[in-house]
Amino acid sequence: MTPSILKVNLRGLLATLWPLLAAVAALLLMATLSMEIMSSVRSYVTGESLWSKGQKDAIFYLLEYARNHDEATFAAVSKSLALPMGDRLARETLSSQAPDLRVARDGFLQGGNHPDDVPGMIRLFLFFGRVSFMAEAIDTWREGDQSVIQLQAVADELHARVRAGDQAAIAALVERVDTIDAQVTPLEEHFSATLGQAARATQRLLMLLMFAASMLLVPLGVVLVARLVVARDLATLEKVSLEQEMQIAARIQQLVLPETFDIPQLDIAAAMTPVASVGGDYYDVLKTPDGAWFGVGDVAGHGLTSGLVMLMAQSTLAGIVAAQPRIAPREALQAMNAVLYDNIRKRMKKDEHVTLVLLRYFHDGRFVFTGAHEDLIIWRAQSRKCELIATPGTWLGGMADVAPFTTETELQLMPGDLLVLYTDGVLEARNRQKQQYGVERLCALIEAGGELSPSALRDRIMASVKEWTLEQRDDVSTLVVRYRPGSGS
Amino acid sequence: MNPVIFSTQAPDFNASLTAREPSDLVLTLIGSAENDVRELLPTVLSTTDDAARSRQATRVEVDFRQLEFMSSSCFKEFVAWLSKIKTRADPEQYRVILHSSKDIRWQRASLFALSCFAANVVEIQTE
Repeated sequence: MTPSILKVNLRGLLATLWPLLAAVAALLLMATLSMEIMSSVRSYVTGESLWSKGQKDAIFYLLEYARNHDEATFAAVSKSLALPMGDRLARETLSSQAPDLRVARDGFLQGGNHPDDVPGMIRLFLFFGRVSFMAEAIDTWREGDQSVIQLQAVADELHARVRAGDQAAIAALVERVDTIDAQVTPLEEHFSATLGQAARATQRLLMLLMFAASMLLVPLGVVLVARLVVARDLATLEKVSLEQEMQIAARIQQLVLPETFDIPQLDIAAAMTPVASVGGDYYDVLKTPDGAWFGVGDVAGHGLTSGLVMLMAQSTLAGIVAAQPRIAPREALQAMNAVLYDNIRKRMKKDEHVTLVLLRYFHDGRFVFTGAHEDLIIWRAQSRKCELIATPGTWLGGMADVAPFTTETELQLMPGDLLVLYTDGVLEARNRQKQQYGVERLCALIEAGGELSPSALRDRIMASVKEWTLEQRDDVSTLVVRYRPGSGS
Repeated sequence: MNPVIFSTQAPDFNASLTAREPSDLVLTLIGSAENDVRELLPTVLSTTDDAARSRQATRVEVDFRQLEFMSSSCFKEFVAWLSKIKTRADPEQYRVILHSSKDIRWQRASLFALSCFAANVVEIQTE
């Protein structure tokens, strides 16, 4: 069914394409990682600016406090120092054996970093903290933090000296602040330079990796597409080859069907409309010195096997009749079954069976039939009504011996009577409402056209079934026989 | 209501296996068994066979009376099932009763033809 075919195709497609999909996924992952690294490096550069601003502000307010001794100015010193102190908290916990991510987050936030940048900064520190560029920047940061600690100590002492009114000590502390400021400035520049260099190096490295990955993907894509194209071409070739074989088989089936009939006392017309694939319908008329043999049947199922079995049935009956034209129908049927059973079950190891009725016709209008197939339809010229004659028996090819279930029945056609043989494709044709054509409709059609010539009636039946059918799913075969003493050769 | 052992369906087709008694199973087929039902039938029939053997059933009834149509492809599956039962030794063999409707024309000839594949174990009851 379509869903299962689709499933199999998708599975096959995935099996072929997975390396390409994996490479694309890897490339996407690499691109995402690159963006995150670059973004986090940028966050550290921004963070350094904030750290530096806090440190500079603290120096500014310290020097101002030394001059104006205003407590509000001193509070501004503490507030300014809080920024680099926050970053220091984050650095220290992230450098420890068991980093506390909550402390790191709070530290970075205290340092004035944007909340959205903090997770990336933490990841960059944890995963790349030992990588050269990051390790060097962290070392510089650590040195910078020493100056912040010194500033904090100077601020505390200055606060005490201002309260004590010790002008000499205050002047010494102001000099100390200037010294610290002079020490920190190159560190800040080094930190920024290191990260900037790292950002450029990282960008180059990632670009190189992505370029290399892309270069790998191109030949990989070419190879995969080539494989797909080859697979598709092979599948197309196989499909075309199979279709050709099916067409040949269907053509052979058509070729073995009789086109003209030359049986004394009988007017005969037959037709088969095969389905697109090879079907299993069979009919034949074989002339004998005392009359003829008729065979109508159908192989259960469709496809090449059914077509082959149909050809076997045709050949077997033709051989039997050629060798023994006066053989009893039941004996002919048993011989056919023996051949079909041996071929289908033993040699081909298949499970097909054949529904078949064999009729032996005598010039006096008598028919002796055997086998199991659709009911025979007799249109009586006198009553202009149809009679349905059952064909009790069993199917061929499914068991070694059908003799216990094989009976012979005799029927007599009177002048002008019609015998209509057909396959299940006629009765089981369905219309849009899923109604089957059915034997009643067929009989009504025959009764309405009983006076027509066999060929005209055959055409009417085939046209009626075609008109009825929404979608042909089976071969449709009809064989119309009129008993007309004095006609034929 | 007999306990349902197994049930499956397709568009316009339903099959259910029930136990009338522990050793008497009934497989009821309803609707129309077109060619697309053929994919279901091996499961339906093998489940029926497994249930019959595990319960040491003495008979399995197949009720066709509500089955309006069965394609020749579907009959192939029944032929395979009956052929398997026919070849079994006595303790594992069970009788198969085919219930047919006299009002459904195809059942008369086709079920008789089918029964011939295991005439020693199949019985047809027409109502």
